[in-house]
Amino acid sequence: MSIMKHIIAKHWRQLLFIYTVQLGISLLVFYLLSTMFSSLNNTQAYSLIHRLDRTVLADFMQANPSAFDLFSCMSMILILGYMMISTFLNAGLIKSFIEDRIHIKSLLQYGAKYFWKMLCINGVCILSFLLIGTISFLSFFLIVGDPILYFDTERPFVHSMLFLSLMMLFLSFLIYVSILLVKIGLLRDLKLKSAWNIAKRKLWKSLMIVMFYLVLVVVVKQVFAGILSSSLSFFLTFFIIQISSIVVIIIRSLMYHNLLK
Amino acid sequence: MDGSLYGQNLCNNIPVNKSSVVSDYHISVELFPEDKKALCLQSLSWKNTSPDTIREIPFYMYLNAFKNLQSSYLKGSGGEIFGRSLTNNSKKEWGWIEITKIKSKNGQDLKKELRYIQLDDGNDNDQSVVQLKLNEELLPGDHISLEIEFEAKLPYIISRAGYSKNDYYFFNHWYPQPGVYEQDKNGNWGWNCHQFFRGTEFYADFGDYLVDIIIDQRFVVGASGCEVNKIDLPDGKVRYTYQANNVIDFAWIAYPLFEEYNDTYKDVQIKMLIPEEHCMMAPRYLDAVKYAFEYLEKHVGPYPYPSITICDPPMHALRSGLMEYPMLITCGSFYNFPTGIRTIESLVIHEFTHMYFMATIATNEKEEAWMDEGFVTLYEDKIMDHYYGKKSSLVDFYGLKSGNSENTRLEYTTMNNPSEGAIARPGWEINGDYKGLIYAKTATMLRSLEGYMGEESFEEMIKSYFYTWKFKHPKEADFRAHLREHVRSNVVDYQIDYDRFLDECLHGVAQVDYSIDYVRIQAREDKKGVFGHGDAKTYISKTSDQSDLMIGITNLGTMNVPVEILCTFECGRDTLFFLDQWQQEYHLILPSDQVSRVEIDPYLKLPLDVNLNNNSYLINSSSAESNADLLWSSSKWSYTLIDILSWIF
Repeated sequence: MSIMKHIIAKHWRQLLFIYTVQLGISLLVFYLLSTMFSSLNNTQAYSLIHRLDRTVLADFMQANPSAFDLFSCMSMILILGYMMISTFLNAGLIKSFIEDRIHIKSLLQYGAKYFWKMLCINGVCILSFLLIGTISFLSFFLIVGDPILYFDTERPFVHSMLFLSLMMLFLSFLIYVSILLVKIGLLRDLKLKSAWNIAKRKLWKSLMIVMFYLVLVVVVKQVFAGILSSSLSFFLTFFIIQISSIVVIIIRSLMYHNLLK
Repeated sequence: MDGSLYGQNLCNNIPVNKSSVVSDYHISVELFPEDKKALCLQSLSWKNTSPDTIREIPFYMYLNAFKNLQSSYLKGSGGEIFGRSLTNNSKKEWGWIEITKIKSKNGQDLKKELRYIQLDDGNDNDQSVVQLKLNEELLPGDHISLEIEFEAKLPYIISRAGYSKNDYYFFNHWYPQPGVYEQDKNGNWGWNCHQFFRGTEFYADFGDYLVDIIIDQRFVVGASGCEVNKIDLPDGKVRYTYQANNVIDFAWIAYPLFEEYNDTYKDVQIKMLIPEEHCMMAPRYLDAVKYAFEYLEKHVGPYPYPSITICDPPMHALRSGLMEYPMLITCGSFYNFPTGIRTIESLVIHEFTHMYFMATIATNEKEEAWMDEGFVTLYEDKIMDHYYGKKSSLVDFYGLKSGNSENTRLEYTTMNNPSEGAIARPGWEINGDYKGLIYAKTATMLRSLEGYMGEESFEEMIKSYFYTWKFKHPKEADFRAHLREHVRSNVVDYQIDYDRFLDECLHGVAQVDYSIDYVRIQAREDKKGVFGHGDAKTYISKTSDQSDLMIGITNLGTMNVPVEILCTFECGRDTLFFLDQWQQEYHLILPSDQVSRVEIDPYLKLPLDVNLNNNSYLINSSSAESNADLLWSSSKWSYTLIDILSWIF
């Protein structure tokens, strides 16, 4: 609790800045979506507001095959754009925690200073995820197909699939935490090798910390989703969404702070 | 010797229409697992129900489809079928059927009178039909009795019939079965006995079967009909006797690793054969089959047989799965199949529904596959959606949802080429997406037919169709005549030209895609001044402030069919129009500007429409859904994405 007070009391300006950036991007997405919905003018498009409707999506893609490419392209640009922003903000925030700086200016300065280094590390992270995904995919297809027919029982096949999926998840998580620790090392101005050695030493403890905070985020988001599923006014909905966003940012800051210990 | 009688009462309860029974079979079969072969003795009595004198009888010998790569079934497959390469098959892995002796009742040897015929494609290497030239003419109403000895050698499963690991055996198309002597479309009598091609399966007369299966005791056996006797034999074997009356075929299955579950639905025996690894799925299968029993009994007619055996093959024998035989169906699953994915329920309901459309209403599945698969898919959709939820009946898995009828419609609309050909064609002429066309398009068409007729009227029509045509072989013309008569003498929602609709759907290739072209409000022309003459002169002092609502509707496809339009007014009132001029374009003018929403086919009575997204128009879209909804939904997606990215990078 004292850590939380410490973070909120000292770094509230930086957290508020991060929240404002996220809000700006969300409003941009909201604007794009509302423009799209108002121009569609049909009840089918509005059904998408409540849930993903397979018929609406399939009919849309069948009638407008190129629209899906455009949508994928726009989503990719949005994701890449936010990846850059997130890399910048996280570098600035973690370095501010390390140096105990509380102003937004420090966050921006540190973000700019370490941006390229962190971006490279994030590139490695993406490549690692892709590699794990490819290996799992290929392993899956080595088992599925005619080889299935030569198993005496089906258990090894199903268990192999489950094991493969769990391994993929665990390896991805391992890589994510390792890279996070390396990033922290580099933000402490260590050489890459030293950062890696420290990451290896602190890996298992850090896995537990990250796991705890990830579970906490899932629980918090579920609670907020439960509140928002009841019919609320426009402003109350907006307000609760903002609270949820701020709480998630605080949890992430707490995780970084704990990993820095 | 231990003999006991099983289920005789149930078997005797069959509501037999003896006039439909043309053949009487008594087959004794002994399985020799080491050779993957069965030695069989078949006594066959066949009745000439035609007004013609019969001089030859063709028999289906469909196991010969798996004899070599030159059979009409495997030819052109490139040595690979259903993902399995056959080019490296060993001698043991091929299958065949061979008549070793055939004698008439008076003991005369007829073997030299047998000749393989290939009337469909002239392929000399195909031995899927053999013709017996009779040494005596068979007069109308007479019977012929034959004693046939034959060997049925099973292939390593290529498609349905065959053997697999751990002594798994599935016998179908395993005995010589006469074709059907019937009238063709022009009223001429003749044999209908096609060769075996991929995508075609059944057409046979109704018969009574008594089958003795002699097999090692370690096997668990399932078969069409009821087990009426079981006798332990001295050499470690057992003889099961199965009886199936008034059926078009007889199949059986044997596997030592099956677990057996027995249940009942009213007076009907349900037997489930399932590998130990699949046992957790048994309750799912049994529930689904009972749902199907209940629904079909209520909406189509009573189940016409005393039993049903459901076989779930192990994964190594999956190629024998997903098929229907009278009173015996095979399904497909694997160990620990997720509960939210209900394809196993959907499949077992589909195969069970074939007991109505295929086994009882015995249409010609080779020439008019749509008449069984289309109706079966329609009822599969109805049963699944009724019992498991319309929008989540097929998949309800971690937030992903899909309905069965939704899936069927999309199988049709997302075909690579939904206009690739007419539905009403023989199965062997369809080279493209067979399932999309025969199963999905037909079911979607029938659902549209129901939309025009109304649910109640459609149900009455199907019930009377089932009652009239059970244990018979109706053709397309018979169904259409039945529909015509029903529509003429019963109340239906819309009296349209149903023959024209069926012509468009069954024999045409066009699609429907009605869309709203425009909705605009147009002010009425100004009328100020003096109008008329003489005493009828009228002075209009002010210009009209009224407007007309103009709605343009266009069919982007070329199959024009009647369709409903709903206009909802801002006061909450709505008006439904039925546009039945079979036109490509409609232009409606309504004397009001207070309309909030215009919808084509608002109750989804025409699922044949390939794009539903252009079927509605909201005059004032912002009023349709609250902004809070839009805000919450868009925020939910964008915040989730932003959160994930913030944590990763």
